[in-house]
Amino acid sequence: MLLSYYEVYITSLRACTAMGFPHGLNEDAAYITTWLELHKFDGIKKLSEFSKNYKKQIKRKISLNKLRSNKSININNSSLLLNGPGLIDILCEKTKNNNNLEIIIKNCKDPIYILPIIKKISKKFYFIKASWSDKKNKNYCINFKKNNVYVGENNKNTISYGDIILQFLLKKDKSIKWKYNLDISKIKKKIDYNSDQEKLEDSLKPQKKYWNNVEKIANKSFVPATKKSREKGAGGGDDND
Amino acid sequence: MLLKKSKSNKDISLMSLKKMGSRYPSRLSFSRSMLRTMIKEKWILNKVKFDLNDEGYGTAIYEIKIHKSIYSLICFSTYLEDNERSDRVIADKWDTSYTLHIGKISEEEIKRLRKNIPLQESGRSSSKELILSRANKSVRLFKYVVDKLSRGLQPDINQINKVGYLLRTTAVYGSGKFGLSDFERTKIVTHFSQPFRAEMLAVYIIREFSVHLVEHIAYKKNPKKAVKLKRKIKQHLGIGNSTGLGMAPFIIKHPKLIHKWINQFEKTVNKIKKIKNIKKDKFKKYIDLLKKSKKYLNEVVSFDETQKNKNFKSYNDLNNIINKYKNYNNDINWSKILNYAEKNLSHDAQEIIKVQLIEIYPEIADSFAENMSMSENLELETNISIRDLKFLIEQKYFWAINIDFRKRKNNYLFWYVSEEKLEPRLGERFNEPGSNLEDKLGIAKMVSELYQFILKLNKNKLSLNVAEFLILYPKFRGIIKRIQTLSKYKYGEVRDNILAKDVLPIDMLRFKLSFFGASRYDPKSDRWLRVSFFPGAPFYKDLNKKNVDQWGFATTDSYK
Repeated sequence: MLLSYYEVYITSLRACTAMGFPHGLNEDAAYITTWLELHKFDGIKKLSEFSKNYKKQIKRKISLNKLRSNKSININNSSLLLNGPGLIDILCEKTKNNNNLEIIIKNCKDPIYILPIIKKISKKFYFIKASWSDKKNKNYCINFKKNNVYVGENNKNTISYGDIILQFLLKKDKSIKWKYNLDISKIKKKIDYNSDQEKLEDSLKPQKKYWNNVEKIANKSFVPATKKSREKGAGGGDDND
Repeated sequence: MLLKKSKSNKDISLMSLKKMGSRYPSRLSFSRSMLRTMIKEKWILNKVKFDLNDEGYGTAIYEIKIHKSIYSLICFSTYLEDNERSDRVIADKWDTSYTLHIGKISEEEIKRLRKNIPLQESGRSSSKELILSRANKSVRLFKYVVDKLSRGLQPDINQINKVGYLLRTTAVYGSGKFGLSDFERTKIVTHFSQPFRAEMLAVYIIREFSVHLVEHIAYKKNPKKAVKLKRKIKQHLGIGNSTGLGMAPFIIKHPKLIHKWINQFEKTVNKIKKIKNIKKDKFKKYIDLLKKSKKYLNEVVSFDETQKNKNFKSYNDLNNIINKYKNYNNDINWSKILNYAEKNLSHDAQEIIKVQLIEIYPEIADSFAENMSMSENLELETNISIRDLKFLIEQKYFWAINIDFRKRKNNYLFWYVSEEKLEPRLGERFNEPGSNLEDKLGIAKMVSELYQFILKLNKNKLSLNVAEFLILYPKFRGIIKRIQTLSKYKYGEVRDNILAKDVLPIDMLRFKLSFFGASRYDPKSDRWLRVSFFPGAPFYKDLNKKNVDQWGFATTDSYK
């Protein structure tokens, strides 16, 4: 199925609204989903899977007190689709105080969501780097610099499954000594303006079964028709001419 | 508690619904700027296929050559029973359907498009298509014109004036809808980087097609006698459009873009206001344009009593100002005239005074018209304290927090999307089901809820920054992002309560339509209206540098 960015975004937005995402976070989640889908990271599949447990997920929140730590934050398996934008806002604020920040997010089950969330704010930073390992111990290392996203690997650090190491640098400063080396050893994918355009031309291609599920959830955001709504909801009068 | 209004009361009133519902098209409108660009860049329009049967059913293709690129508008004309014709979104059949395609259209693509385009929302478009549209025949005019032409006669221009169009579009979709090219791509890979430019081109060509169609049917009906429409009559035809509630959510959901449009308009007016030493011939030109507007108001047909009264009042107001300033003297300046209009004339007349002033300064207006696009991101400022946010709301959103939403009349309506073909609708909160699924368009109410919430916070919570506050209360994320962003864009918000019982959604529709360049407003209820695009505009073969900007407020005697 070939879809436009708009179609994936608006359907994701409606699905998130129907699931009960608060206003504002529904827009963030729709953007996250669509960006991942555009760049072949299965945004729609992930949203579809998220929807299975969304009632539990929506109740899971990050404690503000836990966010005050400067070394690590335990998010207790709450989803970054819901809590990621707020979490990254806090980390940005922390970075502004010292120009840099190195922090570990613990117990994160969906680290891929960090990509679009950071992409959105990365232009304000000199760089942002992120790294994690999946269940099979495969390493992911992402560097955000000058509005480009570099996706690759870095096996210089041992990262436990569920952890994400993040480094933020606001303004260039070579004197900072980072605990972890998050340079990419092998770039597998570069995401920039040109790749955005190429992907838009190709259209978005979510897997049908996941798309159908997301559409089904989105449909719950529409108001059922009644005779009165049909006759008066959009205005009466002669609709022929 | 009533808060004092900020200094810029004038800016606020511009975005009140009454003002929004009084706007007229101007040189900055998208139909106008599209046509100017067409001439400036020497776009070439050709009818390359016209495969219609004797009744006018079949396929036509128009190609538009822009520099080395080609775009094609394909038109499908199909039989429709009279009782199946409807302007509503929930309709599923139309007399004609269209798509604007990037490049030439191959035979294979014709087959694909023929399967999909007549289905409109139920079909699929691809990223090769920019626009999807459909139009119905005017029952009042179409057959009349066919009949006249087939008998070798011209239709009466007064009959043309009563309706204004042969075909009436009921939707013109773009920007990624139903698989179409996303605007993010369109603005880069095509020549249509300005908002709604591709839409306006499609609509202009549909107008061409409407005349070719009527002339074709008349000829087939009576080849020996049939004649073509005379230019003087043809030019008075626009292309109709029925517009409903969908335009209102657009205004709320694209606040930075709306700000940009108004800001460009206001910058144009303000620049003109500073001009001193107005020459006599320039001033005469202006008065002539006001007289033309007066004629237009006298001729334009509306069945709506409110609109008729508005037109009548504007007519008298224009008379008033023309008489007041009919004698040119050296002391005259634009600022004086605009101030007089603001104090003494109706909102509609004030707008006419402005758009006609803009008309005589293309050297100022036209560059603003080519810069109507804007990034739409709303951004949080997470380091601001909640105390400061409260202050910001009091400064910028006093119009919202002064509304008492405990009163039923202020919280009476809810906006929603119906499951029936996703038609945007309005419901009565206390009388109809569905308000739990309402679209978040009641900005004043959301701001008020946030403000009331902040008023109850203790000192510690007031000291939190926005990032921290939103971890605790994520439900306010959307509205805080909006408040913080739009505090820098003074024309971004509709400064009225659109949930109020007495709201007239049609005011928002007219606002957006004026920027598109639509005129001949004919409200059919408080929620939808009919308008015309390009009435009075020269058809492609007659279009030139001289006449491309001469057709605003066209009347039946505008054509020489």
